[in-house]
Amino acid sequence: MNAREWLSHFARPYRTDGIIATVSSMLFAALILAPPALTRLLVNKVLIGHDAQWLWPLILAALGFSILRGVFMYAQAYLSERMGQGVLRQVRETLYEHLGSLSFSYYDQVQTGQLISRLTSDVEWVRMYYSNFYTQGANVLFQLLFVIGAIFILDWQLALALVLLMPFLAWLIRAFNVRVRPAFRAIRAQFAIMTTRLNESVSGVRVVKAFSQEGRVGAAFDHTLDDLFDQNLIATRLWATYFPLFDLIGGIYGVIVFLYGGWQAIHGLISVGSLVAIAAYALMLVSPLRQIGQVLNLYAQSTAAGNRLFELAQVTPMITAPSHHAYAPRKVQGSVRFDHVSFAYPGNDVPTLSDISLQIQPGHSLAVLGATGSGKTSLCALIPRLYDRTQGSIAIDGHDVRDWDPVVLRRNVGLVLQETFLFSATVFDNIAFGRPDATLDDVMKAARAAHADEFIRQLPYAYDTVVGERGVGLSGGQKQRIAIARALLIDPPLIILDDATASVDQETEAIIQSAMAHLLQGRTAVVIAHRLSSLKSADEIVVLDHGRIVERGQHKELLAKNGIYRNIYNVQYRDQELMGQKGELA
Amino acid sequence: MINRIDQDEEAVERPFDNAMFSRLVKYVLPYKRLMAWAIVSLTIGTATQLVIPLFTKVAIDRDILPKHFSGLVPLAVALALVYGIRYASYRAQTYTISVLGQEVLRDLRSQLFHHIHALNFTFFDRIPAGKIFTRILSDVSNLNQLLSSGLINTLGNVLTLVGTIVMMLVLKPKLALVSFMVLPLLVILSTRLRRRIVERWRVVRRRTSVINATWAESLNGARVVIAYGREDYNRQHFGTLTADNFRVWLRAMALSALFGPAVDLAGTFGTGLVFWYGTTLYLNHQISLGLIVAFVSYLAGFWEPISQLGQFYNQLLVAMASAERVFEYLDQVPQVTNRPQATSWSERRGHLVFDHVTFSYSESQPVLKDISFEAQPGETIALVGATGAGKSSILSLVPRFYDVTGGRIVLDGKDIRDITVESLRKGIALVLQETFIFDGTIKDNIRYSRPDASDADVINAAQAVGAASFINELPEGYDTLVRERGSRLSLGQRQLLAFARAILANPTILILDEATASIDTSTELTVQRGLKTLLEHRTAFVAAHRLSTIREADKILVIDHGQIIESGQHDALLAARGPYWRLLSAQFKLEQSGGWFAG
Repeated sequence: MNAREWLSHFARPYRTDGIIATVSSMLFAALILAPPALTRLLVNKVLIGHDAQWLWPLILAALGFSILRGVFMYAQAYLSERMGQGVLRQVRETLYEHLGSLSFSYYDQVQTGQLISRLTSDVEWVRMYYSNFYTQGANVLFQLLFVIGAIFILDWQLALALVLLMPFLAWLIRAFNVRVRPAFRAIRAQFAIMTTRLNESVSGVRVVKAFSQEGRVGAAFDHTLDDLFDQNLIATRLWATYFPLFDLIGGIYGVIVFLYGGWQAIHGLISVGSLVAIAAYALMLVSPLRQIGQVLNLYAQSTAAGNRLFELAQVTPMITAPSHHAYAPRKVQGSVRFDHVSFAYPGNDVPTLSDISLQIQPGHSLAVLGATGSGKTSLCALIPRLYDRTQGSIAIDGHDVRDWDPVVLRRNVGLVLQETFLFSATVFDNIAFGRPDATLDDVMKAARAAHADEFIRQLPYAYDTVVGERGVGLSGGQKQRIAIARALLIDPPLIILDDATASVDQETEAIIQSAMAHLLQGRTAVVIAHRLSSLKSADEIVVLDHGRIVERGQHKELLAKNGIYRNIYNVQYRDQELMGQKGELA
Repeated sequence: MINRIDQDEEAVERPFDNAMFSRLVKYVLPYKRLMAWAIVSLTIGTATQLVIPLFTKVAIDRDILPKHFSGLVPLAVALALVYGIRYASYRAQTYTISVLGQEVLRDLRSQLFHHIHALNFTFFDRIPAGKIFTRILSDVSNLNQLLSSGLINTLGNVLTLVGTIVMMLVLKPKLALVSFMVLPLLVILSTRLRRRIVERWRVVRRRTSVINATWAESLNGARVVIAYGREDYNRQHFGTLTADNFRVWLRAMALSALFGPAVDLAGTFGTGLVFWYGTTLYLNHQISLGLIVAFVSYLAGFWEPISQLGQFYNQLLVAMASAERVFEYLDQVPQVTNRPQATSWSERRGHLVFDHVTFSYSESQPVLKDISFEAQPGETIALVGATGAGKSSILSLVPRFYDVTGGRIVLDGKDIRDITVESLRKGIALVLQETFIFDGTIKDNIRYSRPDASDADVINAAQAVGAASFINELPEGYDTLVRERGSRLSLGQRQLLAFARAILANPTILILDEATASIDTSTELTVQRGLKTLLEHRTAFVAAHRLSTIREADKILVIDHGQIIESGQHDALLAARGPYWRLLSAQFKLEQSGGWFAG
C-alpha cells in the first residue's frame, strides 16, 4: 500500500459525491459562457436589429441560466466538501487511534509540539485536496477549453491570436512559481526560527530575567524579526512583479480584441455583438490560467502532506497486545518477577538496566534507590509494559507481561510518574482520568487519601476548576497530589510511585505517606524515593547503580553492610541521629 | 475530561471601539510615506479601472458603428497606455501595502516582546507562557491584516464603489438609477446572508480548535494516557468530536454554498434591468449602444467591493478582540524599573541589609511582615520554615523580581532600587527548584549566564559543581543537544546544569531556593562539594530543608507566616530550644516515622 491507496481508501465511500461534484463543475464551466452570448444576441438582434421581441426571452434566458449555474455551483461546492470532510474525519480518527497505540519509546523521540502542528496542517491539506482539487481542476480545464472554443466559433483568427499568447502566459506562471516557492520556504523556515525563539524566551523568562539577559534576548529576537522581514520582502517583490503581470496580460488581450476585433467588425467580418462577446470571453481566459498555479500547488502540497500522514500511520506500535489469548484476568494478585532483565532504550547501545532479578510477593513492597540516571524510572516503566525489556523476562502473577492484554495490565497498575502531566480539564476530570465513570464521592475520597482535598476545595471552583496549561496554575506539590489521587482512584492491586513526593515539602510528604500507608497495605507497591525515611520499612530495598542492582535487603541489613546505602544514610541522617542521641532533639 | 476544553476559549470578536481603533492606527503613522504611496497608487489604479469601460463605449459608438477605423488606432494606443499605468500602479500598490504590513507586524511583535520582558514576575505568575505566545503570534498578525491590507483595500473598495456610481450617474442618470435597484439586493446578501454564514463558520472554527486542542492534549499527555489504558475511551470521545465537526462543517457549507449562486442571480437581475430599460431608452434614441455595453461592465464591477466591505467589517470585529488582548499586555506597567538616579552596582562586596521590609503580591494579603536582618559579605544565610512561610518571597526580593511594599533592602550601602536592575542581577545568581533548559547544546545552556565565557570556563564550571561526570557520559559531551521537553535529562541533571550556570556567572550573591530538593542523595554528595566552592567568598542565601545544608550557615533565619521568629547560629538556636529546635525535632520525628509503608 502507498499513501495514495491509503487515502483513496478513505475517499471510496464518497466516490459518488466526487463524481457528481466534478461533473457539476464541468457543466458550470460550460454555463458561464451564457452571459456574453446573451449580450451578443441583445446587441445584434435587439439593438442593431431593432427587434424588441427578443428582449424578454433574452432576459428570461439569462435568469434561467443563472439558476442552472447556481444549481451546479451549489452541488459542486457542497458535495466536494462532503467528500473532503468525510476523508478528513476518517483520517483524523485513524491517526488518533494509531497514535494512541504507539508506546513510550515513540513519544520519547518525537517533539510533540512539532508533531501536533504538522498533523494539524497536514490533515487540512488532505481535506483541501479532496474538497478542491478535482472540482477546481475540472473548472480550470473546462473553462479554458470552452472559452477558447467559444471564441473560435465566433472568430477563429482572433482566437488564434489569443491562444498564441498563452504559452507566454504559462511560462510566466511557471517562472513565478519557481521563484516564489523557495521564497516562501525561506519565510516558513524563518518563521519557525522566530516562533522557537519566542516560545523559549517566554517559557524561560524567569531564567532570562534572573541572569539579566533581556537585552540580549530582545536583540536576538529583533534580529530574527528583521530576517523575517527581509525574507518577506523578497517574496513581496516577486509578488509585486509577477502578480500585476497577469492583469497586464488581460490588458493585452483587451487591446488585441479592441484593435483587431474592431477592425473586423468595421469591415463586417464579425458582428458588433460578437465583438462585445469576444471581449468578455478574452477576459475570462486570465483567471483560470492564474488558477493553474494554485491547483498544481495544492496537488504538490497535499501529496507531500498525504505522504507524511501515511508515514505516520505506518509507524509500527512497538508494544501490541498478543495476537491471541491475551491474558486478561478478572482479578490481579500483584506478584512481580524480574528474571535476568536487561533493557536498553531503542536506538541506544548502552543498556539502561542489566541483569535485574527481582521477586515481589502480592501485597509486598519494593523500594528502589539510586543515583540520578541509575535506571530506577526505567525499571518501574517495564512493569506495566510501557517499554519492552531487551532480555530476560518480566512476569506479573506468573504471566509474562507480553502475554497480558496491555490495557488490562495497565488498568491494574497505578502509576505516578515523576513528571506530572495534568490535562487542561477540571480537577475532577484529571483525577477520574483512569476511571471516567467515577462519582464525585469516589474522586473526593481519592483526593482526601492523597491529601489533595484541602487545597482543591480552596480553588475557585473546587473540583470543577480547570487546571493544566489553559487553567489555574498549581504548584509542583499540588500537581503531584492530584496525580496520586488519580492513581488511587483506580484502586490498583499494584502501585508504582516514581519519586511521587519530590516536589512537596517534608511535612506534606509525611502527611501523604501516613495517609497512604494503610492504603498501600494489601497492594503490591514499588516505590522510588530519595529520602531513606520514605522507604526504610519496605519489604525489600534495592540500590541501583548504572543499571545494576548493587545492594539489596531490608533497611537494617543494608545498614549493616556499610556500603552505598550506609553512606547515603550517613549523609541524610547522621546529624539528626547524633543530635537525637545526645538528646538535643525531642 | 478534555470535553470541557472550550470553556476558557477567548472572545473571537469585540464590538467596534473608537478609542482602540485610533490607538491601532497610530502604528501605521510612522510610515506616512509608504501610506501616501499606497493611497496614490490605489487611487490611480481605481481610476484606470473606471475609465476602461468608457473606451469600449467610445469605440463602439464613435468608430465601429460608423465604420471609422482611423479613430480606433489612437484609442487602442490610449487604452494600452491606461493598462500600462494600471500595471504600474497595481505593482506599486501591492508592494507598498505589503511592506507596510510587514513593518507594522515587526514593530508590534518587537514592542510586545520587549515590553513583556520588562514586566516583573507577578505577570508571569498569573499568565501561562502559552497564552503570551499566541498573543504575540496570532493576535498581532490579525492586527497586521487589518492595519495594512484591511484599511487600504477598504479605501480602494469605497473609491471603486463611489467612482462606479458617479460614472454611471454622469453617463446616464435614468439608466443608472434603474440599475441601482439591484444594489439593496447585493447589500442584503453581503450583510444578512453573510452574517449567518459567518456565524456558522465561527461554530466550525471553534469546534476545529477543540479538536486540535484535544489532539494536542492527547499527544502531550500521551504517557499518562498509555499508563492508564485510556486509549479506547479517548478514541470514542475523539470520534464524537470529529462526527460533530463533520456535521457543523456541512451545515456551514450548506448555507455558504448558497452565497455564490445568490450573488450570480442578483447580478443577473441587474444585467436584466440594464437590458430591459437600456433597450427601451435605446429604441427611443436616448442612449447609444456603447453605453449599454459600458453599463453592463460597470454593473459587473459592483459586486466585488460590496462583498469585500462586508468582509472588512468582520475583520474589524476580529481585530478589535485581538487589539484588546494585545493592549492588555502593553498596558501592564513594568513595576520594577530603573529609577532616574539609579547607578550601577560597581563595588560589589555583598553586604546586604533587609530593613523593616514588608511585601505583598496583592494588596489584601501581606506575605512578609517587618523583615529585618543583615548579611555580611561572604556569609551564608539559611532560611528555614514551612512551605508557604515566605522563604521564596524573601529570596525573590533580592534580585528585585518584585519590589518591596514597605521598608528597604540595602546592598553595599545603597537601596537596591537605586541600583540599575541589570547590574544588580548580573551580580546575583540563583538556582530555583525547577530548571529551565533552553534549546541548544549543554555548553550553550551553561553559558547562558555569561554568553562570552570560553569553553574552558564552561568546563571548569561544570567540574566545580560535579556536573562534568554525567555530561561526559552523554553521546556528544558538552555538545549534546538538549531541549526543554523531550530531552532525557533527569531533574537532578537539570539541577546540576543550573549550578554550573550559576557558578559561571561568578556572582557576588548566590541564592539557592530549595535547589537540592530534587537531587538524589548520591548526586548530592557530589554537589555538596561543588556547593562549597560555590558558596566560598560569596554572600549566599539558602532556603533548604536539609539539616546538613543548614547547620553550617553563618546565620539561620526561622521564618513563620511571613515573619522572622528566630535567628542565630545552629548551636545557639538548638540550645535555646525555641522554634528552630521544635522544627528540627518535628523533622526528626518525621524521619523516624514509617514513610510509605507502615513499618
